[in-house]
Amino acid sequence: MAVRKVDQDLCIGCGVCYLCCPEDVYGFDVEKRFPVVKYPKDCVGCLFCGLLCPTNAISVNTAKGRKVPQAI
Amino acid sequence: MAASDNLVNVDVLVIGGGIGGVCAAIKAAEQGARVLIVEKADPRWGGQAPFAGGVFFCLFPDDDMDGWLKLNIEDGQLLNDRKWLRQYGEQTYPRLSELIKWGVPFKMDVKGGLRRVPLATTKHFHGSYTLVSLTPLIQVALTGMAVKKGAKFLNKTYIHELIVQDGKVAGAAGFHLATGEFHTFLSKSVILACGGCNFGVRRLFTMNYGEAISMAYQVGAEFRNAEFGNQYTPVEKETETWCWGNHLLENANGEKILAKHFPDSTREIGFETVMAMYKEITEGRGPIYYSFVGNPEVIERMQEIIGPAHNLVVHALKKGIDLSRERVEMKPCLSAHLGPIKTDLNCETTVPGLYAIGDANFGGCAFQGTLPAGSHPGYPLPFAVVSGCIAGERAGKKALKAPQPEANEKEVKRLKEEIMAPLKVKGGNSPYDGIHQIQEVISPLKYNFFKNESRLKEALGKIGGVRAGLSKLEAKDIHEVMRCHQVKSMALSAEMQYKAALMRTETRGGHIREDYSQRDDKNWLKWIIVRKEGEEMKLWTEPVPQV
Repeated sequence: MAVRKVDQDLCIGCGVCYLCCPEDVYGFDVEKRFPVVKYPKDCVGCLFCGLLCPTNAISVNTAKGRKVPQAI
Repeated sequence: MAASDNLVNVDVLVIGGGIGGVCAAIKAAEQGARVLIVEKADPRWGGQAPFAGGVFFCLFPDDDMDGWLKLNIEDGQLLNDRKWLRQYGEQTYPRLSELIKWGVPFKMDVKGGLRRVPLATTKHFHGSYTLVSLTPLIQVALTGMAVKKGAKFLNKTYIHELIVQDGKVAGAAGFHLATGEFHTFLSKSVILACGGCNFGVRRLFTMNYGEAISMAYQVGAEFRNAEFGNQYTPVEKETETWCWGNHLLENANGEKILAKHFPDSTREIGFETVMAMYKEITEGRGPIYYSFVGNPEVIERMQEIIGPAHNLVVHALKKGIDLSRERVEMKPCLSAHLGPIKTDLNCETTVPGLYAIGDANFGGCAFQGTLPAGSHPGYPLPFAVVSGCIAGERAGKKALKAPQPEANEKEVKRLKEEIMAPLKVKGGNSPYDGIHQIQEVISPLKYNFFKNESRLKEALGKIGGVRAGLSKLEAKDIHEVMRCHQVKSMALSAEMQYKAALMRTETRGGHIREDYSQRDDKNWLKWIIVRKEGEEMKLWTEPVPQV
C-alpha cells in the first residue's frame, strides 16, 4: 500500500495533500481540519503529498495501491 | 437542484490546470478576457510538470535551427507537420523568456545566464537543454502569475462533457469531487489542457485518462497520429523512477544494449531502447540494468537535473545502494502519452472555439511526426508552454469580439443526467474492473508495441466489450462517477489508437507491425485521420506535405 497514514500529531490541517493529489485519494474533514485517506487503493505512489507536506506528517512510498498489468 | 445551478459565464474556459493550461490562462487574461481554469486537483501543484524531470529543451538564437529541423524530420520518420515543427522551434526561446519573467526558477550558470546543458548523447543535437530548479515550484509561480493577471480558478472540479451550440463550442459541464455539486460553464471558447491518455499504468504521469480525447471526439473533432501514442520508457523495476542516458543500460552479462543493437544511433529514441531491452530479455540475457559503474560523474549530475519524484539516482541512494558499484534493475513501462487531437497552428481543433494544447495535441499537431511526448526528454514541457501560450492568446483575442453563449436549460439537464447516471445504477460493474480490462490490452508489449493484425483485433474485441458495458458501470459515490467516466475515455482512446494501428500496414518509428515489417514511403507518407460520424468511428488518410 502506498499512502499509509497521516500523523495526527504532526499534521497542521493545511489541506495541501487533499488539494494536490492527482488521483483524489484524500478527503478533508472540515470540522476536524484533518485529511482523510478515503481511497487508499487509488494511490499510485507519486509521493506528491509526502513531498509537499510542510510538517512531514505523511507516510507514503512508491508502491501502488492496485496491481497494474506489466509490459512483459 | 436545478440544472442551471452553479452556472458560470466566462470568455475562456481552460479545462486542466497543468503547465499548459495555466500558461494559456495567463495569455488569455493578458488580452483582457475573463478566464477560468477548472482543475480536478489544484493548479498550484497541477498536472505532470511538478513530477517531471524539469528539463526544458530550447533553441537559443545561436543554436542551429536548420540542423535541428532536419534531425527532427528524420526522427519523426517524415510524418511531421513541418510548419508546426518550425513554429515549435521558433517559439521555445521567447516562451522560455516569458516563463522566467513570470517567476519560474531556472538554473543559472556562474555568469548569471541560463545554464545550458548538453544532455543528449549525440554529436548532432543542435539544441540546448535548460533546467528548472525545482519542479514543484513551476506551478506555484505560474498560478500566482495567472491570478495576478486576473484569471480565476476552481479546484477539485472534474469536467467530462462539452457543450456545443450551432456547431460551435459553448462551454462544459462537470462536478466537484468532494461535494458532488454540478457545475455548468458557458464560455466563448474552451481550451482542452487536461492531458492525453496515459492509461494509468505508470506510477507517475498517470492522472490523464483521455478525458480531452473523449470530450473532443463526442463533439466531432478530428484526430491525427493516434497509432503513435505508445511511448514505453525504461524505468527502475520497483519505484518506476527514471534516469537519462539509455546508453548505460546493460544486460545481465554487462553488454551495453543500445551499442549492441543500434550502433549507428546518435539519438536516444525511446522505442529503440525498448526494442533492445525486449530482445535481450526474451533471448535469456536479462534482466536489464542501469549501470553507473565507471561513470561516477553521471551519478552526481543526474541527482541535480531530474525532479525528485522521478529521479532514479535519488531513490537508489536513499535505499543505500552504492551506485558506483551496484547496478539497478530496470523494466520497460508504458508511459503512453497518447495525444492525437488534430489542431492547426493556433492550436484550434476542427470544432470552432475548441482548442487543444500540451499532451492533448502533442501527437495531433504532428510536430514530432511519429514520436509521442516523452520520446525525447525535454520536449513535452516547452511544448505545453508554447501551445498553451499560442492558444491562450488566440482564444483571449477572439473572445473579446464573440457573443456570450446562452444557457439551454434542456441541454444542461440532459448533460447532468448523463454525467450522474452511474450513481443510479444498482448491481452494476465496478469501474475499476473496466480500467483494469483496458490496461490488460494496452500495457503489454505484445499488444501495444509489437503489433500484428490478430492481436490488434483481439485487443479491439476486449475494448469493445468494455465499451458495450459502459451503461452498466455503477458508481458508489462521486469519486467513482469520475472513475466511470475514465473507463469511457480510456476505452475510446484505446479503440482509436488500435484502429489507427490496424490501418497503418507498415512499420514506422514506434509503430511496429510484425506482419508489415518495412517502412513503406510509397504508400504511407500519410496521416491517419479519425472522427466520429453518427455512431461510427471513421478513419481516412491525408498526404503528409514533404516541404
